[in-house]
Amino acid sequence: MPELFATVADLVAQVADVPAGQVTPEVRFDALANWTSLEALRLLTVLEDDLDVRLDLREYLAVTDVAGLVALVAAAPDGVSR
Amino acid sequence: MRVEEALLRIRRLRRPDAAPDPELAAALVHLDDAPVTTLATAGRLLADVPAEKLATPDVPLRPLRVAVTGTFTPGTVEPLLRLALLRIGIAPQLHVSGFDQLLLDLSDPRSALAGFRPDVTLCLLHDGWFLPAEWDPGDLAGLRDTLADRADVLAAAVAGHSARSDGALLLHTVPLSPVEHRSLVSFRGRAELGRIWRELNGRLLELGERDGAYTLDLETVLVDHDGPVRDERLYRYASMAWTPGVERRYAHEAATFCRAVLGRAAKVLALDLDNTLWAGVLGDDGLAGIALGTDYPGNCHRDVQRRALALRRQGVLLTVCSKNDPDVVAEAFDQHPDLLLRADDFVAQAVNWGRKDENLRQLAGTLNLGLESVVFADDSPFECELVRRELPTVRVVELAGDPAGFSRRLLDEGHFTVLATGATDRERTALYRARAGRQRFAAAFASAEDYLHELKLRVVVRPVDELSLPRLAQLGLRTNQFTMTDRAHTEAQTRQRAVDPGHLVLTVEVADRFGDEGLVGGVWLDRGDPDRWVVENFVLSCRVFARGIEQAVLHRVAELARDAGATGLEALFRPTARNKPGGAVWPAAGFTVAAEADGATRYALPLHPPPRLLPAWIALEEKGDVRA
Repeated sequence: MPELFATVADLVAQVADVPAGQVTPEVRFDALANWTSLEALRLLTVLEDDLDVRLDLREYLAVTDVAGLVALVAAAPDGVSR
Repeated sequence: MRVEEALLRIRRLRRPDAAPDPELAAALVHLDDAPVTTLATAGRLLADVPAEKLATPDVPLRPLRVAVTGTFTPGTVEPLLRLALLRIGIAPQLHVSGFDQLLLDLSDPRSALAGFRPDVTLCLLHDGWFLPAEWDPGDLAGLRDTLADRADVLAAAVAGHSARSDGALLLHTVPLSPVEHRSLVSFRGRAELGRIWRELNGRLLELGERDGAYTLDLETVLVDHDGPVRDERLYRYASMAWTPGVERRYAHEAATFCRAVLGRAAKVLALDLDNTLWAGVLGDDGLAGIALGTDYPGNCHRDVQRRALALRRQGVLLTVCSKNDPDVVAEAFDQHPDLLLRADDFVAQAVNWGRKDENLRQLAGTLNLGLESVVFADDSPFECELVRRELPTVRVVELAGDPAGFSRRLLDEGHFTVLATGATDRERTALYRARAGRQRFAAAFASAEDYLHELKLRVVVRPVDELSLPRLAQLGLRTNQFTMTDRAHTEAQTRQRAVDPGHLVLTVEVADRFGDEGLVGGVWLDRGDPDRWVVENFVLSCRVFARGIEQAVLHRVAELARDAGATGLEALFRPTARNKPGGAVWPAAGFTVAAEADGATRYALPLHPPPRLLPAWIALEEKGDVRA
């Protein structure tokens, strides 16, 4: 799943406005500078649009780090089944 | 320019020591087709870029103080709004309030919004603010009263704001969520709720009829929006009432409103004729051959005329900018029964074979208006790109694709949107017509060669073959403007000449960076006298006029004749009612009149020294063996 990680990490970096190299699987969202619920929701929208998936908001809000997010996205049904 | 390139340029500008990128604001239109999340990213990045780095000193961005407040959380509109404003030349200073601050912001003289002293206040509304959460489906009369009360509260806040501020305020109609509609089980009840809800929207529209308040009919704007108005998850979790797609629509409409507040609506619409106001090419197809009746696709072009006429009646000045014979166009406006627009609907007409950028410049000069108030609508990507390049302040509407979409394309951008129209707007055309008089626009062929260079024009001249022969003969018979005779060769005559060693028939194909135009012309040569080749006919489609292609073709013909040992090239020209553009090619290429007889002119050009006719911006390509 290295491709999916790269895509997700890139989107996280864009939303958080940090260099892409800094986003590793271990990075926790609450450790990112200026990360608020607004950024979290922006990331949700971007992820869903770019990857054509639909995430469960409860599960999404429970995710704490990038690796967890990648796993959630990988398990998500695609947008066709919305 | 690709989306990635636009984003890269924005990122580059965020560095404190970055050099200005004066064309970036105008280039933001290249993001138009990008996904909304990309637009939001661009808008957020642009927040850190000083406005003076985005525009040129001659065409600076207009500063504007814009406040955004709402009955829900309006924050996510901000980047989209910033981008939408910069895109149309407005550098906003934005003030965005938090969740449900609208009443406080408008009614409290010491609110943060009041302190910001906005030029424009955008009020974002949602159904949940008007509709009580526990409304009783059994008491719709009571619901109606409640909605009226809420509207009264809003009206009082708006009145308070208007009394204290001279800025403009934008309200909007509110779509009702379908889940409320379906909460009623009866058809009668749903209809009743719909009526009550429209009363509320009617009230909101009324609020926009006085003082500095205006109302955008958002409910109508969203009719063809694909997708839900709100994402239920984001609505329940974060009180966001609009999906990004709706935010994007709103940002566009709000930006157009801001432009109207600044008085920067366009005033002039310059219209192409062929394949814009009607289907077909007037000069070739003739008055009876162009389509603009009640059937597709003519009715699409007729609808463009209808929209243009509607603009004219609201004060927009119409002009013509067309490559055509002025007499033929005058005849069409005078006599064609299906034309909705007539000559006196236009304040000025530039109908000639010159460059359109030059014509637009002259049109604007005649009307004494700046080029930034001109909208240019044309179906040709060539003309659109030429105008974009040479006159970057002119707003270009490219009428590409199916003509059924032309009217929408013309109006979607809101170029002509103003705050209000009055009685004088109806009379404006007559006023300007008197002022402009009947100025003739000079055909200007020179200048701006660098654009032609960038077109990367490629011309292929080669002998006609089995495949191209029928098409060439058709083109020859159909062409009325760039042709040397009204007695074009029939297919049989062309076929005969193609195999006869005493003749040579050539095809002309053109491609540029917009794509392949394909077969656009041909040359019929008599080389019975090997010393003097004679051009019996030379035909070129009007699609490719005024780009130097005719010169390139003659260059190749001269080359071929010389290589075969000829010392001179001759050409026959027989004037018709319409082929003036064709006849002009001979003097322009250095031919002189050798004889005149039987209504035909014989032109001649010596081939020593070799004539240099090939324009520097055209590449002649060889394909196949021309030396038959």
